[in-house]
Amino acid sequence: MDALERATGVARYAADWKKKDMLYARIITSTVPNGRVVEIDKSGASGTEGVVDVVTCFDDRTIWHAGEREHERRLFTDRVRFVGDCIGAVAARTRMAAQKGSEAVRARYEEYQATFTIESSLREGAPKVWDDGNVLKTRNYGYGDVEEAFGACSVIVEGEYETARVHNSQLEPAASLAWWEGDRLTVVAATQSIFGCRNGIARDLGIPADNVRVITKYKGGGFGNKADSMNYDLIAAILARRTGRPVMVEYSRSDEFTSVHGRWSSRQKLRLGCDQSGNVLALEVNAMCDIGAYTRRIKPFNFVDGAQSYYSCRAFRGEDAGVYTNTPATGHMRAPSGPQSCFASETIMDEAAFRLGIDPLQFRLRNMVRVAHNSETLTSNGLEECLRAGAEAFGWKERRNAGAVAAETSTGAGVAIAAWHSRLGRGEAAVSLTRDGRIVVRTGVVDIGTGAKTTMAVIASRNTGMPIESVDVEWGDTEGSPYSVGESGSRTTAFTGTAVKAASTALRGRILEKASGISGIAPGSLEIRNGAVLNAGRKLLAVEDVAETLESELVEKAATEPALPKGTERLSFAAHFAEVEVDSETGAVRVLKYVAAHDSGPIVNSLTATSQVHGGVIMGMGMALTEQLLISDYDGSVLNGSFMLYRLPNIKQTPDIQAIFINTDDPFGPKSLGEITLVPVAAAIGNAIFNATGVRLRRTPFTPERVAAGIEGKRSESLPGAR
Amino acid sequence: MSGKWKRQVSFTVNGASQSLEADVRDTLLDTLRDRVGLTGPKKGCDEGVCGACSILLDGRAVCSCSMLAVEAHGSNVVTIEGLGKDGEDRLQLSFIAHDAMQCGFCTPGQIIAARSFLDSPGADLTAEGIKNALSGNICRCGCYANIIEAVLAAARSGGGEP
Ligand code: FES
Ligand code: FES
Repeated sequence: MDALERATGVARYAADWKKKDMLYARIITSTVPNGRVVEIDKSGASGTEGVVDVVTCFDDRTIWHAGEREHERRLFTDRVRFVGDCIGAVAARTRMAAQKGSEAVRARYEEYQATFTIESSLREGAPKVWDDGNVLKTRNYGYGDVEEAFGACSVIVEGEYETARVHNSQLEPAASLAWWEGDRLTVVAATQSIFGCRNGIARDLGIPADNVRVITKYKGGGFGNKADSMNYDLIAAILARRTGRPVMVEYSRSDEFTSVHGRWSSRQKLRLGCDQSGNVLALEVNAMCDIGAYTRRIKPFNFVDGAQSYYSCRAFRGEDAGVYTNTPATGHMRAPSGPQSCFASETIMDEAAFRLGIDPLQFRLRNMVRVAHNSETLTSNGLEECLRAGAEAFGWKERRNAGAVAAETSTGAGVAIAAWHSRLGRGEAAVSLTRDGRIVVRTGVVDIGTGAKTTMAVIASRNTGMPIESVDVEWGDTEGSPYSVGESGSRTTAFTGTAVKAASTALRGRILEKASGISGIAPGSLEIRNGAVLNAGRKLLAVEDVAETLESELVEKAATEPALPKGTERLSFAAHFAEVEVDSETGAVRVLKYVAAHDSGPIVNSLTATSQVHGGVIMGMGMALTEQLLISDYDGSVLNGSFMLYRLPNIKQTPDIQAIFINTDDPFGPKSLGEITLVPVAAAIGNAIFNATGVRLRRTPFTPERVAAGIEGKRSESLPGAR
Repeated sequence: MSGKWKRQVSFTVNGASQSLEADVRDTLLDTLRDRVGLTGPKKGCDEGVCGACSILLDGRAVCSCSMLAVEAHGSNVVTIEGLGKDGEDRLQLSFIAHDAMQCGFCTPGQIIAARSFLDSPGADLTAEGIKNALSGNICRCGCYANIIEAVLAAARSGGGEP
């Protein structure tokens, strides 16, 4: 759905909108990493031809995310915490004038010492990013007696693992257009959640939510970074109010890298204990994450998350903390804490299997989760089938490198498993039959490219009995849509889909009642199939005929909020298999074949679900092989904030990818999919590199330099007399 | 005062001739989007790396963010909007049929690059050839596998002629 609009270029994304007398805005950002703005001289900007307004931290004190303790911050701040922190904005008649104007603003700072790494932030007497300390400690968690369990282990493996900071980098840069009509504000935003965005804007501007309308028709990806109201939405609204004209804020690609959050990096110490026959008894995880100067961490996510949910072990202990540094903000990116955690734990599992001489696939089959967190029942668990079906399709036995050392290139295979939250939550939908016989689905979610719109249409089609061509899905505008949580956390299908299903089923009943009124046959003896009302398999009349008799649209609304029974956990599962080829001279890694087996419950639309898997695997390959946001150790600024230097996967790296779905029967229907597709990728590739070369990589990304250095190290180890 | 920055630019866009006074510093991409009103070409990076802004310039795919409007004077420009009306273009349909897009932001650029590739004489109509031809078009949603399928299918059905 909407594919035609996208393929023909008529789909309108935020930056494609235009309003009469529209102004362009640019942000003014801090040039020091830690300090206070003492004075701002706007005269250069105000004097620039075309500049209409300049707003700074001294003119406007709006708080972004007001009242949310862990990530509220001033929209334009005088207390700057990283190079790039927003201190003001300029609105001008042209893009060029706005740019020139923003460059002409002069700020004077009182500079403080700054800290750019986890170590220096933790040091005694470290410069303070926040007055109440540099550590955002989240939790100590676990179950069982870890020390006792370790005592019973005959093999204990320890390791330190690091994942680099990466960036969402959706292809559409941030853009927001706002205008006022009296006290009513309209914002064309690139958000994943029009209602979240509306409510956030209203809260921060101190106006009633009913006075704010948010429109998002198309959105160029997000992967978690536009889940709510963003600062640029507020900036557009404030400048529009000040100037009385529509204002468009557009971020450049380098603004994106600096001013929009990416994924936090992690440093994790793990300890894993097994008995002699390879049963995991104890696991311990200690994680520190560099979360930058701000974090958009929204509960209930944690900084690392996972391992304890896909393995069965007697005891588990975890501790994680976020550490503030004077570097750009971090926040949600597709499965916020998942891949960091999975990389560390799935690598150490592989190390343990190797030490024990057990095939990694068998090791996982033996230890995979049966009962969550040692006590909770899973609503469904298709992990074992993921492992078996995936291994079969992949050709696990044949592709494993038995240890032959090839001269120039070597190949190997690796596996990794993962689980991800598949919560239940509130969904709302209205489904109606129009007088011309069409089905209209209205929800508040936004299609950011996960195929959600098509999925909603499929659900409505199946449950009303109408052909998919007769179904329209309307959304993307807070006016006219019922409330929805918006698309984040892979939950559209699960949350909103449930409501669409309920409303569609109810509508079907209403249509049958009407048909019964026309035909005189009891509703119970009628059914709708492919747009026709049938009685005992024979067509009585078309749904269109029923529609014609209506005085107005027939509407059914549903709000659903299923809850999990106590002591129950609901998870999606995956088992990924990667085959790589490593060039032992250059260290370059190529992924040749990839099989991703998923248990996300019953799959509604296998075409778009497959695309989700492809997308997650490709993004995971980026994290594994090329992506790393480089931070200057001089001033904490982003060193590679361009697509030239921050390398996203391109089409040439595309391996042969196969998606497999285990359609596990889950009592609550479809489980989440979008996020977990990325979670195990880096671990699977790292494990494959180990199988190919014997080099164990404990840091992402696996750049050619690191791989080559590892191979070099191996070689010198095996030279006679090297030690 | 601003007159020294202005030049008259005439070119053909999607079959219609256009003449406008452009700022010599304006890119072709901004000019198409802001002045001609064609927002099919997207601004993904504005630095010539992502390919979202691809257009056909005299039949060849180029990044419109990396050239100035004045450089297009006298040229024949085709944007995604000019490729077949109402989605009749076989390549566009093939992208749809193969679910070769998710958010769709890169799609106009991908299709333009693929069009240019299919139209070039002696194009290597294999997966490898397609990968080479489209290597300048980033898709963050990771639709590459389906994009390759879509272009291959269009190539098979007669070079994807509209
Ligand atoms: S916008 Fe032109 S190449 Fe990215
Ligand atoms: S479809 Fe989203 S970037 Fe390609």
